[in-house]
Amino acid sequence: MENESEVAEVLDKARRGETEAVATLCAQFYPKIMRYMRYRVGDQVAEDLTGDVFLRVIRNLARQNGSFAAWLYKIAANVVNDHIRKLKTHPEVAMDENKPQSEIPASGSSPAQSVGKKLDLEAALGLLTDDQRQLVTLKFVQGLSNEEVAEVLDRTPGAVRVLQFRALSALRRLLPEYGGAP
Amino acid sequence: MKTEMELADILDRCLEQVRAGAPVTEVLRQYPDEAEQLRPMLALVVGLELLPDPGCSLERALPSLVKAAEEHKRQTTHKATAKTAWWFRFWRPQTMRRTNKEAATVRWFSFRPVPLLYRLAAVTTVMVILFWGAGTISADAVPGDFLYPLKLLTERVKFFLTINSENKVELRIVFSSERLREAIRLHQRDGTLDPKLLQQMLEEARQAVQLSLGLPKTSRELLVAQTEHLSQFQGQTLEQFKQQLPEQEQAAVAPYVEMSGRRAAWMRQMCDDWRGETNAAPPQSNAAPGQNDRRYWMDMCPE
Repeated sequence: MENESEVAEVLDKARRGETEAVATLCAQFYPKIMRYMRYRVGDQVAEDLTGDVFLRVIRNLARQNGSFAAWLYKIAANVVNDHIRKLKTHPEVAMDENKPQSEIPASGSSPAQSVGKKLDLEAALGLLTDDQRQLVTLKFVQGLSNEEVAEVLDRTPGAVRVLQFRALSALRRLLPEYGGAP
Repeated sequence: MKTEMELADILDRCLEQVRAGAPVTEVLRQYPDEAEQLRPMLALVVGLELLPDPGCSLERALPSLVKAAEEHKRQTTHKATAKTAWWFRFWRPQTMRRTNKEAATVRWFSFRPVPLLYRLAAVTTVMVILFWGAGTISADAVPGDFLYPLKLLTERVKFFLTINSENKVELRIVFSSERLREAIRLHQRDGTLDPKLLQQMLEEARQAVQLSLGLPKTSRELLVAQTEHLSQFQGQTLEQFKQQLPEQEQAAVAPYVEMSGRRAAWMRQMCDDWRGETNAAPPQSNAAPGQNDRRYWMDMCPE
């Protein structure tokens, strides 16, 4: 189920209520969403949130149109936003191990100083802004096109290109081996 | 010096080419001025695309997938039963359609948006109840009462909403009776005689007959006979009522008594004609010539 037509066929069956098609969709996209969640919120809550994403997908499958991947990642982005909002409103829920990478406190004067030489690419992702991290995850980890990313982020493709440039510039500055400050 | 937007476009073009399989060095050769800046970014992208997979095993994913499958099964079952219980879906609160986890955050009275058809039905129901209530409350009102205009309005609306002509005639007959009732009740309560009500009584009866004349034979005969009985009854009632009045007021009521009697007689004559019973002699009076014509009595109302 690699190309769009195959996805569309399975989607049609899933909308008609065929459980097998729903299972195929879940099995196909579960690892991708899990990977997205892992880079956005960390290992501990990634599984729970991925489960929530698929529950929402099943509930709203009848209303889906356009690119399925973009729609799916948009749901995933909404689930993450809800989770972050919940963490802010109920801080007691936010245990240390549940903290997303983006919330790692920076002890030094700059993010680069705070993580020092040990900073690797994966950790550097956690120091980007939420939009930049989301773009990097969607485009380079998940392999979405600019148009699909634009749909997920509610931006124009032009704005996505600028955000991409800024995100890669920020990552470059954070990582000495890519020409950033040592 | 290129702007950020231009650099972003160049980077994107480079990325597209690298993704398509072109070597980085060759791609950067097209942009010698920006090559130094873009090279580490393209290397970063390669690094990002090689990031490790989360290692999602089927065992770990199983609970979530089972949960999703259960949700799907529940939804399918709900769709199947929904057809027989559309009314239940209409008023059922959202909490009942959600999972327990979500239900806690939804207020029990939060209904989903109501479709236009249901809204129209609700508005119509409320209007019917209001209309019925207004008619009931103002039923005993007489001229001068606060609710009397409401009573007249209710009558007009009722007449306007009645489509069937026979029902319209019957409504006229009811309104005529109501005017007589009001005149008597007003006099009993305040001692006031209102000839306007008696005029309206006759006018309603006249319109009832006029409307009946346009109907098919059977209905016409039945309704004219009904109006005839009404006029006869009204004449008798007014006669009794007249006896209780002072002399001056008796004179004011007398024309209405006479006219009711005359009309009843002429309507009886009309019915006999239609039935072919010509033996009944037309009512004679010592009225002026032309006044023996039924149309004279039909159209005339005392001033």
